[in-house]
Amino acid sequence: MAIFHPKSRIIECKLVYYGPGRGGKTTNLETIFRTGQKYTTGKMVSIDTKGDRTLFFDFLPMGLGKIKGCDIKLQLYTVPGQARYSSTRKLVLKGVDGLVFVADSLRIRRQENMISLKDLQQNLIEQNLDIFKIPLVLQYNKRDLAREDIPIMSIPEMDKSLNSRLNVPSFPGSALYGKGVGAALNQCIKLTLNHLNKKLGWTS
Amino acid sequence: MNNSGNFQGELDFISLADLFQILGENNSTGALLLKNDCFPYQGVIYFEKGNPVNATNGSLLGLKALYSLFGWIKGKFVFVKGENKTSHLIKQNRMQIVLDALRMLDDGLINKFGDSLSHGVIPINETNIIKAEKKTIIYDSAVVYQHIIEEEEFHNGDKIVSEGCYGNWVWVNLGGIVKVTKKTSKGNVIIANLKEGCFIGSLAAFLHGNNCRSATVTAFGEVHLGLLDSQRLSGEYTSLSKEFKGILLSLSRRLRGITNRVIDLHRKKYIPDGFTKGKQIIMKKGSKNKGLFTIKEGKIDIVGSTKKGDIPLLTLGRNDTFGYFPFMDFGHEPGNVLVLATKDIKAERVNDRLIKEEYAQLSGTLKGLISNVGTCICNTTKLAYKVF
Repeated sequence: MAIFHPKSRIIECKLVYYGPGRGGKTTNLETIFRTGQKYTTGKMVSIDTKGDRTLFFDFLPMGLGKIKGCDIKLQLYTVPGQARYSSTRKLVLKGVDGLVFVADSLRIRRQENMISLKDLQQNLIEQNLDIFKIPLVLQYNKRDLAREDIPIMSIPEMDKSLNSRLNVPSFPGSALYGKGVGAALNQCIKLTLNHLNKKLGWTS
Repeated sequence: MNNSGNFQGELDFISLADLFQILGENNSTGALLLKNDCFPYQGVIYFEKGNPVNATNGSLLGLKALYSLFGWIKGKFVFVKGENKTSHLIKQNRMQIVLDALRMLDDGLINKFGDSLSHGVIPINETNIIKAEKKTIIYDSAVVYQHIIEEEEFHNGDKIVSEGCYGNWVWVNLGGIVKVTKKTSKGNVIIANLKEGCFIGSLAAFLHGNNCRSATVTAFGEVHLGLLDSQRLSGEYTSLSKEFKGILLSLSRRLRGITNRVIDLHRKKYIPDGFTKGKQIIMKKGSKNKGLFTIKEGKIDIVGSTKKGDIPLLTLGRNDTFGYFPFMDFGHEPGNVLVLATKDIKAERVNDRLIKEEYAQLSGTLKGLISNVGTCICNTTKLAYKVF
C-alpha cells in the first residue's frame, strides 16, 4: 500500500517484478537502473537468492506529476520465484501497489510461465490482494531469440496462455537490449497511480 | 520485559523485518530490545536515524548478532527511544540487511527460535556455502536453449548421476551448484563444483552405446537442470570429420587422465622418481609451437611444474591429440607444460585450419560442451597442483 511521508511530501509506491526464474526480471531492473541513473537515489541492493537475484532500488522518475502536492517515489523490486524464499517474497509483496509480470517467450518455458503466474495469484491472496484487481502488466520477454532460430511462442499464444482471463496490457520485450522495458514500466506506473487515485479518492 | 519503552509488541505479530521498515520510515533513534524464551538475555539492536548501527546477541556483536536475531520468530520487543552510546559496527544499508537476512533465513543459514525450542545461541554458518561457492567453481557461460528438451529440478543431496552406472543423458546447469565427486579407498573426493552454464555428462555420452559414468554428480542446494537432446547432438557429432571426432575423444580421455591423477594424489600415491627416464622432450614449457599432432605410435607425458617440483599430469597414447588446439586453451601445451615422449614416438600433423573451420560451424551447444571439457581440464589441473 502506498506510504505517505508528510514531512518530505513524498508518496512511496512499491512496484514488483515477478515471473519465472531466469525470465528477465533482473535484466529489466538493471536496465532501468542503468538508464535511469539520474532518477535513482542510492545504490541498487542486490541479494544473492539462488537462481534469481533479489534486487531493490528507489526511483524518482520525473514527469509523473504530483498527487496532493506530493512527489511520487517508486520502490522497484524483483522477487525470487523459488518456493524456499517465502520470507523474502512475503516482505517484497507486502503492500505491493503494482506488478510487472515478466514472462519468458521461450516455448519450452510455457508451463513455467503459467506456474509462476499461479504462484503470484496465490502469494497475493496471502496478502489479501486480488490478481484481478491489482495494477498489473505483462511483458513477453526474450522476443529477440526468434532471430537466432530458437523456438519462441507467438504473441497470440502467450496472450492465450497468460492473459485470456486477466485481460491486462501486455508488451513484447527484449530486456537484454532494453526493448519494451520502459513501455512496461510506464504503463505499470500509470495503472498504479490511477488505481491509487480511485482507491484513496485522491485527485491528481 | 521492561514496559517503559515507546513502542512494544510481539515478534510473531510484527516481525523484525517489519520493525526495521517502521523504525526506518520514522528515522528512529534508540534501542530495540528483543526477548525470546530460549535465551536468558536480551538481544539488542541500536538504531540511529532509522538505520541499525550495532547489535548484541549473547556473545555475538555487530552484523552477526543482527542477522542471528532475525531467527527470533517469536518473543517480545520494546523500542526505547533515546541516544545510543555504542560503536557503529554496522554500516550496511537497511534494506540490504533485511533482504540478506531473509535470504539467509530461507536458505536455512539462520536458526529459527520460537518458544518451543531451547537452544543456545548458534552463530550463522555461511562458511560451508561460501567455501563451496568459491573453491573449484567451474563456470561456463554457454547456456543454449535450442537443445534443451526438458527442465528438471533437483533438491539438496539428490544424486543426478552415479559413478559406475550407465547413462547417456547430458544436462546443462541452469541454476544452482552441483558437486562432482569420485570414489577412492579413502572416501569421496570432490573434483569440482559446477555452476550455471556448465554441463553434466560428457561428450563420451555421444560416442559409445553404453556410457559408464566416471563420477558422481550431486545437487548442492536447489538445482535446476536442462536435459539436452542427446539424439540431435549425437547426430551433429556423427556428421563431424574423423579427425575432429578423434580430437574430441582425445580431450575426453585427457580429462579422465587428469582426474585420475587428482585421485592418485589424494590417495597419497606419489609419483616415483625417474619418471622422465628414457624419454625425450618434444615441447618445452614456454614453447610457441602452433602445431597440432595425432600420436600414431609411442606415448607422451604431459608434465606440469610446481614449486614442489615436476608432476606428470597424464599420459597420452595412440590416436590422442596434443599441441596447439586452435579453438581452445586449457592451460596445457604448448606453453604451460613440458611434453615428454617415449623414444618410439611417431606423430602426424593435423590440418588445424580445417579443424578451426569445422569448429566454427558447430552448434552453440556442442561448442559449449567442448568448451566445458576444456574448462574442466584446466580446473582439474589446478586442483592437481594444489593437492601435490
